[in-house]
Amino acid sequence: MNTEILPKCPQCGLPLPANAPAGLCPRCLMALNLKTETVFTDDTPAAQPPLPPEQIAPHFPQLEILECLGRGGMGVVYKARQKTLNRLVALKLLAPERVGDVKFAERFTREAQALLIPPKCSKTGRCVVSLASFCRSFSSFPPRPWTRMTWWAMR
Amino acid sequence: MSRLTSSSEAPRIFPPTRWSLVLAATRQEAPESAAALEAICRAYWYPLYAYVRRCGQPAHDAQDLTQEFFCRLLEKRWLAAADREKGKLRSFLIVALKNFMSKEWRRASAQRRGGAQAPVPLDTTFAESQYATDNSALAPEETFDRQWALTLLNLTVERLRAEFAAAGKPGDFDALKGCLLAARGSVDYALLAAKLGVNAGAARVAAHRLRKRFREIYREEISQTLADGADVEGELRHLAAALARQ
Repeated sequence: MNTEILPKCPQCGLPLPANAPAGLCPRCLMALNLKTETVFTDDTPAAQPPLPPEQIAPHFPQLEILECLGRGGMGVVYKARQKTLNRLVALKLLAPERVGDVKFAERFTREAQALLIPPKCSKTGRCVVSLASFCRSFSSFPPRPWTRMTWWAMR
Repeated sequence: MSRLTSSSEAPRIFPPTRWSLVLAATRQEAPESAAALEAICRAYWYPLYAYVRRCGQPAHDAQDLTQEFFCRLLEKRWLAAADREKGKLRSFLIVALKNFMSKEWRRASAQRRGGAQAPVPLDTTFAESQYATDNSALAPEETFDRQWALTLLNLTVERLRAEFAAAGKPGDFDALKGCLLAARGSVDYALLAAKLGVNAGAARVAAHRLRKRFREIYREEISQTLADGADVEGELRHLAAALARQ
């Protein structure tokens, strides 16, 4: 056997075999295969400041984006005017730092679906106007590919 | 392109695995089975070589033996027995190799001295240099399973690298590959973002996608070695345990 000292994995400290994939520790790689999450808790990103309305506007030509109302743990909400019906609406976008979080994206989708049923104005003044077309347009939005949004009226 | 399709999209129709194509060839004439068998020889021969060496065969004999084994395998002599090995290519190959070593090797080597067959093109020099660095004290079968797991990891990483190259971003894979290691909170996303030429948020997304894709491909590679519908997660756990042994 070769007694030459092999390089060690910086993560686990064990020697790397000669056929380590791309020079990466195979045990640590395999550990990734066994995990249930690919977004790690410690990786949860810090909240990023919301984009100003003028940067959002080009991606939503149907709306006049008026102002950013605020942001929560999940998303950012903008006040906007729906041009065709001349009414105020709210536009909610998944927070950019949450794009990579699959569970978050799923929660966001469920929230959007819940708001779509029933599709009419309620006494509390919220109603859903549209969702699907904006999901498509926004998913290709460079350079911040947010994945989900909902939109409801605020009158 | 189907391999690039996200698992979140419409249900996929899985093509037959490489191993199930070979199994099908034992029952009927299947033109794609020869290509599948050759692909198997190309991809998975090193674990068998390492097994033979760990059994105590000197390098030269191990090279001859592995070559000869694959010659016989390509003749499909033993494929009728494959169904008995629980539908796993890994199990089939190691059982077939053991049988070959105990019964047929001497006779086959005598025939070979008569000079009958063309060798399977295996890079045995490279294999031996790789084996020489293996300082573990594992039993032959443990060595085989460990090298099998490593082979699948290498196939996975090379596919990932090829996908980045096909997307015109070969350098991004080298910048991102460190994110595949599973330590929490250890990735410097600001540095990574600078390497990739994007902002920190996009770097996090890229790292997450790479991890996710890595896991998808590794499972696909495992499934290629199993009969259709076999337990991929069970095989994954077996290989993880094999890799953990020292």
